[in-house]
Amino acid sequence: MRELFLLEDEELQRIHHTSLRILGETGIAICHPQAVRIMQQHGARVDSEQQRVWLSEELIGRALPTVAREFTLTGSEPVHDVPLGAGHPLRGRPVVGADFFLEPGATSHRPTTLRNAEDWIRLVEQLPNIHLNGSPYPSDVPAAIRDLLVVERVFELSHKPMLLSHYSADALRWSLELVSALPRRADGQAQSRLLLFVSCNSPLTYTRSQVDILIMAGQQGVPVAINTAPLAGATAPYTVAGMAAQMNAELLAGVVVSQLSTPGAPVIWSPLPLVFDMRAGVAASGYAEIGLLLAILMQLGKLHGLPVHCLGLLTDAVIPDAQAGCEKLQAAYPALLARPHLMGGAGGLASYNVGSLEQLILDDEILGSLFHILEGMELDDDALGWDVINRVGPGGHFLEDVHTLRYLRRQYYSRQTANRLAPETWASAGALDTRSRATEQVQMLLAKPENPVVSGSVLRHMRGLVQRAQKDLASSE
Amino acid sequence: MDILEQLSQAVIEGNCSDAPQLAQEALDAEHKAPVVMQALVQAMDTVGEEWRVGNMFIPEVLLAAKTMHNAMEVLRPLLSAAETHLRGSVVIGTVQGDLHDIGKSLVAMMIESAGFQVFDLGVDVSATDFVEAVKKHRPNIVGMSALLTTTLPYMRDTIRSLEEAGVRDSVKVMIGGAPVTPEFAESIGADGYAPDGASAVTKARELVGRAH
Repeated sequence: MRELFLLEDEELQRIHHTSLRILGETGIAICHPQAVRIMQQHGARVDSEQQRVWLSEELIGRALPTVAREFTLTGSEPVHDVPLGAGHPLRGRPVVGADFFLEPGATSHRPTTLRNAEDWIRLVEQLPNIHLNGSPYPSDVPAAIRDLLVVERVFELSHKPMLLSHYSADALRWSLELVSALPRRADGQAQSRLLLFVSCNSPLTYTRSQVDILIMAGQQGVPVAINTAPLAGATAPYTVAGMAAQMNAELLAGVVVSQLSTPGAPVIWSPLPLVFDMRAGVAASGYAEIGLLLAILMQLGKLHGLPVHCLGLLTDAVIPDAQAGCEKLQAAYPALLARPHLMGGAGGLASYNVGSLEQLILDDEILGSLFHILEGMELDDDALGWDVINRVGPGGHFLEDVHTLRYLRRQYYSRQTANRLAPETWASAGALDTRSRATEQVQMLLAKPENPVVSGSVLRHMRGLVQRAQKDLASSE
Repeated sequence: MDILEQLSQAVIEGNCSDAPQLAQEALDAEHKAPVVMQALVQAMDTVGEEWRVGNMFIPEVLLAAKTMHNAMEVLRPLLSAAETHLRGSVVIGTVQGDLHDIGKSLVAMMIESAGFQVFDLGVDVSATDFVEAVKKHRPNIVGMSALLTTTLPYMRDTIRSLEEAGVRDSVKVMIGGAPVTPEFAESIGADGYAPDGASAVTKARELVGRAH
């Protein structure tokens, strides 16, 4: 099957041309003297005092070809590795960093606790269509180490690589210490495990701490998801085309900083378009046009030859309800056809501000369905089925044919939380709705006994590192 | 339609260019400046209500506020300071370590639209800068915003600094931002919390009402 792109080449070029004008004429603020110097050395016009950098089309053209077209996030063992980029299938990941949490069955969210984060990490570990771990950030722990505690708990409870955001390069340094505490794998390779979020502060500003992390990650070989999340109408133009142009410019600037600092540093294009709701005055992600924007932004990322990450499972719903299901698919589907490499947002509600275990279950199954669509269909003679049609002939049935049996368990993706029962049977089986079925799944999966992921000595070492990090980071505040 | 109604209508429609002329005509028609001012404030109350019920969008509210300010320039020489800011004043900023501007700016604009005088200190504002601004402007309210959970502790620090400087009791403190909860507001001794721009206006009015 092909990649399906929404825009004609000429339409896409009009957006990209506007982005080039933004970067070449308006410029972008890079609040990081070292990065500004690097850009200047490569021929960018800069204003060091204003920390403003202007990027020419020629300079961008020099930086883009060094980007790795694919890279692999390593798990604890090769079976958990996640290759991302050209030639690799779509993978799923959970929402990370949410400050709030919705307990199973609850109607109101509360600040995330460490216990919630642990349940989340355990659940993600068991879900087949979510390939990265990473969790909401707990509020009942010292603020300086909430990100590091999540890293430590993921390494303790999960084999999967993880996505996270740090607030400072100092915290990243401690994360790398935790990574180096992990044992070598059976294949002799060191575990790297991390994919880091680095975000532009729209409009057109990269803060010092984010550039610090971008440069240090590049030097250490840690892959980075370069992100921007403007609010249409508030921190970017209200129009879809204007949003796309500004986001393309912001992400390109991040890629250029990364590649000029460390050519070949692995990055993935990670736009998150949001709309400023002009009535409620809040960030909103449930509009249909978010799907359009994501599709265009995936097309732009692929135009630049980058691995692309669709932050697609988006909703404004605050509980796992019909709105959540509808909006998540509405946002993800148009972009899905452009064949992104990573799909984000599993378990997220309220524009990624709230994490829900039930929603994780539901989104794991949405991801499973999306993967099946992208896998396409078999198209050989057997799948085309002339033989079986000829065998059964007019008026017969296919139920007992060996052909049906051959495809029985692999042709259609079946969601555990979906009802396929007739109305009366459904009623007599307890009349459970989708969320209730997801709650049951959560309870069942969290009740399973765990096998330890790391040895006792590695665990003690990691916990000791977190304690030292707490002292270090508290004193540097 | 009499001249005050026309002026009021201009504010509601965001007719920036005509409003100053209409304000001047109202004065020429022998309406006293405080009466004209009152018409402007009432027009903004209507705008606020229309927004609250979903009939107006935020950019329209901001345009209405700008229209009111243009009209007020005609009245300003004729009014005392107290008469130009009927609802009180607010010092507002995003706390130290946090560079997120839009939430704070939105609240500042909405509160200003509701008739408050606003001193916007910008982003990455230290506790010391908040204290200095309170001493200088003597506001009714201090508003603090944060988007990053890691910067929330600076809200507590700022309240402590206001206490140490002996000015805490002269102001009401309200806070907001994505990671902020009512429980957190209470735990650090803030007087109020608002989850969004609309509630911030309501909360500011409530706090000033309580203060007076």
